[in-house]
Amino acid sequence: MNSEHFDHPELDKATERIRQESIEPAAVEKAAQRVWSRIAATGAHAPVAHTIHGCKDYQDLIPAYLAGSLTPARKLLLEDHTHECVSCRKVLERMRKGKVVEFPGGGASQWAVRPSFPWAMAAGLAICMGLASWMVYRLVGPGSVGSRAVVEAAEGVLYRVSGNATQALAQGQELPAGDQIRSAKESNAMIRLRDGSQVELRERSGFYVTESGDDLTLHLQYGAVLIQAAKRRVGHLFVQTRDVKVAVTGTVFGVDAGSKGSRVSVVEGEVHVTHGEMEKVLHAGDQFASAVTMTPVSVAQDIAWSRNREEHLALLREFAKLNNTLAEEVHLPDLRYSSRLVDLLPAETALYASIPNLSTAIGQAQEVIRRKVQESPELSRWWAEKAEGGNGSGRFDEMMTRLRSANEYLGSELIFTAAMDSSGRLQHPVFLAELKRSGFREFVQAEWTRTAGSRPQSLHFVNSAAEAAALPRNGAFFLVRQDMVVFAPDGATLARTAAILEGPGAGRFPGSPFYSRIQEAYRGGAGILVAADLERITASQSAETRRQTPPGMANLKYLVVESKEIAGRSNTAAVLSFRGPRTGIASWLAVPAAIGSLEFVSPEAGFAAGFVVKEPKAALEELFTWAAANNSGFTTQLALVEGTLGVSILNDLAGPLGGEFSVALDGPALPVPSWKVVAEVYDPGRLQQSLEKVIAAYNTMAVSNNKPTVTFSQEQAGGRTYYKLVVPQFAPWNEIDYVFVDGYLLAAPSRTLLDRAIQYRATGYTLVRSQAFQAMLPADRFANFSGIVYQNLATGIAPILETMGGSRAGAGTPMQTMIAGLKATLFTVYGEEDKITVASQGGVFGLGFANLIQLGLTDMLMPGRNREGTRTPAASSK
Amino acid sequence: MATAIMEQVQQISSEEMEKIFREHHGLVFRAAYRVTGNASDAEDVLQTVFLRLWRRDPESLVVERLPGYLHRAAVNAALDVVQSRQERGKMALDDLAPKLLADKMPTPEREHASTEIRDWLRRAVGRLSPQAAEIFALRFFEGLDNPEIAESVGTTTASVAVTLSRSRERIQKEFSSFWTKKAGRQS
Repeated sequence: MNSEHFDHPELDKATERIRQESIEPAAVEKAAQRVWSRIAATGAHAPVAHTIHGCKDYQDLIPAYLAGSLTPARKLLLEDHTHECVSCRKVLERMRKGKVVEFPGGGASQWAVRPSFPWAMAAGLAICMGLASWMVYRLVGPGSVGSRAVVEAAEGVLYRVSGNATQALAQGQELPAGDQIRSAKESNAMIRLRDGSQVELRERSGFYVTESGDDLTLHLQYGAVLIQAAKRRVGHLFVQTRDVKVAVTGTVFGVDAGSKGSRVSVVEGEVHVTHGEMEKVLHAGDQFASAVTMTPVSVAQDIAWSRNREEHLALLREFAKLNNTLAEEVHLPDLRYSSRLVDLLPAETALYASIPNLSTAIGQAQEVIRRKVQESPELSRWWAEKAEGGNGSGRFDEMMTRLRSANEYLGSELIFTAAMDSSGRLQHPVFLAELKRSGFREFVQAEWTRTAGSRPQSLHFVNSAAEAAALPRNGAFFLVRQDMVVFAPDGATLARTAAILEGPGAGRFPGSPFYSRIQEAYRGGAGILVAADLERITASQSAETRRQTPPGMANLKYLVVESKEIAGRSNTAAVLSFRGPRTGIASWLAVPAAIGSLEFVSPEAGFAAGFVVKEPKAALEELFTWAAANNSGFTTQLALVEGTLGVSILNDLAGPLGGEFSVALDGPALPVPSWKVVAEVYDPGRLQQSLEKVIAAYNTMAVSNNKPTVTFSQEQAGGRTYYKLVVPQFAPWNEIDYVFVDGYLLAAPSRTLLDRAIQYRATGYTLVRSQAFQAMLPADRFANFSGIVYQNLATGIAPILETMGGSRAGAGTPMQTMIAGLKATLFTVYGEEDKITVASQGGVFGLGFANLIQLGLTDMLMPGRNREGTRTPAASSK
Repeated sequence: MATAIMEQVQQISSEEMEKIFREHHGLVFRAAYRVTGNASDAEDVLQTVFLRLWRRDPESLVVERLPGYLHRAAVNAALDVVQSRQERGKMALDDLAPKLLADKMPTPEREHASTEIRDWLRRAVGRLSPQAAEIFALRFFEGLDNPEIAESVGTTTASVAVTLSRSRERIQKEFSSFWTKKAGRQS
């Protein structure tokens, strides 16, 4: 590292000139004289009678300062202090202006012009509701304390509006619930809410607080707040503006409600913002604006009015720096467009996996982590603590180092492959990589010895096929050639591979259709590539196995899975291809079409899956035929079951069904997860009849076996019949409610959920139409899909785990961290004539390489977050 | 030790204070001049630094050696000036223009170009984080070496080196675009 010079001579010249910049000694002396005379004249250099401690003391001097009665020394001190302290400067400015403009009069102020009719009504309504809820609270709430907030500190004028009365508030005063709190021009206040959250209120802002159950809602009517939310075990703190709702647990964030819309800026942790149909998760440094006309400003700028901004900004910087630097500086290797190694493989290759060499990325991540730890005292403390514990930073770092140093010997890709042997069985896998530098053998030897323990296998190195031929069966075998290394877990496999490598070229992979398929993948750029020649793998199956293969699964061709990062976004696609048109089970998935059943699923769903299928009856029939062919007793058993139930499964249960299904977890997770099943039904009457028959048959059986029976009831409401089943054995999941709506059967664990689902569909508040979902759709030629699998477990499931975590696993288990860090993912499925494609933006479950590193890091470097109850951003903020 | 100096400062008389001022004002003024690039700002810095010293703000006096402390205080107060000048600059360039122009002496073309680069560099340093800016100024404007800086700001030499290297990288990067634009203007 050269810290002496810049890479630009002009800069070197400039710093040199600055160092040598001289000023006339006489000029310095003159200036010094002026300064000294100013200081001396004021007597500031003499010992001060009463020492000034902090801002309060300075602010006490302001009246005297304005009155001109302050000693020159103090005057200078105060002027200097207000120069550097924004909050004291504001107080000074306000008090100075205060002489001219008396604010609390109200009439002439901004307040008078602002409230329009809807506003006035909203305010009136809010106050009424607030009052009402306050009265209810007084009656039923815990204790007799009616306040939901207390003023901790106020600068300037703060008042409360209750009913028709307006009253100025003083520091330490409690604020009754439902009262609106307003800050005047150039005032700012710190208010502590009942749950411990701290609200900093900007000038010209107004809010009131309501409470329902365990939730506390701060209604920000206008202006801005900066909230340091307290960690809570139950319930949430919500901030509600005209158009946005923000949900939090333990975090720092700012909300600005203006005339155009609302802006939410997150300083620390994570918040969930709901705006219309859209829900967004924001992490530290993220910002959301509800109106397009509100252009983004930096989070730092957005909270610049806060007195605690330095503290907040320091936090923000920590988080932002770590996330951004990782995202910016850790790159997956470039895509590979060809491979030298693939040409050297045997013609019988049936499995092929190629992954990029991550040594550079690991090195980058390590470098970033080390640097960040060194730069930040907080991180460095955590890091040191963890290293002492012996299971955190040290091991993580060591692991990364080992992985990296192994990879540093190897070329840009690592290949795992397996070929079929002459008897049609899959051989042991072989690992291949190009060698970049010498010393690999010594490295492996050293690692082997270091980790040997009581391992019985021996390590063998050979340099040629001839040597490989003499190898024993068991052990670890490396063929080290000048430019490549091959590893195999058995000698024979290594020998065979070595023979092909050294051979004249006959029997090699190029020329086979599978080779062409792999080349095709390389042409599109390879990141992680896994390909299997299913046709070859299944070719040697016995007739017996073939007969047992489910219908449609016998003509599989290739499975190709590709995951790659393009322009910073991961894309994953799996293609299962067939030798001809899909048949049997493989053909159940219909060609892409609209999935109407998904319209019952809201954007808040934690999980959703929906599929369009071919006719269920025909599909089931095919399956039955295959089962009967494989199991002679099947037909008899089926007849027996159908006889007992009194229905024909094919005709009465599958027959009425239509061509699409959806399942979802959508709604509160407690006490019972809000599951939801939607199925298209062509003949609801017949299906209902069959279901009733099945229930009756089940109850008859239950009675004779002395088991509790299923209660079945129905209810008419709004022109619909709601059916309710209670199955005592399944408690607490014992209730199933269902209803037929416009050709769909809709089932859920409660009537409320059914109504809500119907409402979602009626109002268009649906997952599929939400912006978040639309943004996740892959860019391709399809307008519809044959199926989707969507998860947003971080919002759906994490709260459940959190609740459970308190009593069992403890907060912050790796699983929880993992889930909290998951980004929403969407897999789309397309059925085409001879193939099925599954595609997703984002790596598997949204965990790209960079995300994984960040997850591990966040978990390690911020162990305090669970103690402090802050849900820090685990995944990237992209 | 730090407390000892504070006590010492607290107990000194106004004559002694004057002595301290006479002994060290040159150091403070020159450092401030190098960082801000103009005499009137340097004069403000001089006043600020000594006012703070007299005020016995305990934080400002947690130091072992007075010259070292004053040097550092001068650089920081000067950086504050540079930084606040930029903030003002963002809001109202017009207000600022006459002052900036007045600061510049009419000079031949080449001299002017070099002044422009120095001004640019000072502003760029002002855009660094406070600590990075301080370290950068101590190293490149004040000519301290890394161990001296580390001791002065209370960190490790390695951390100084890393901070410097990052600041240098950032400034180089910004400079390249400034330089390109400048070249574009001139051609």
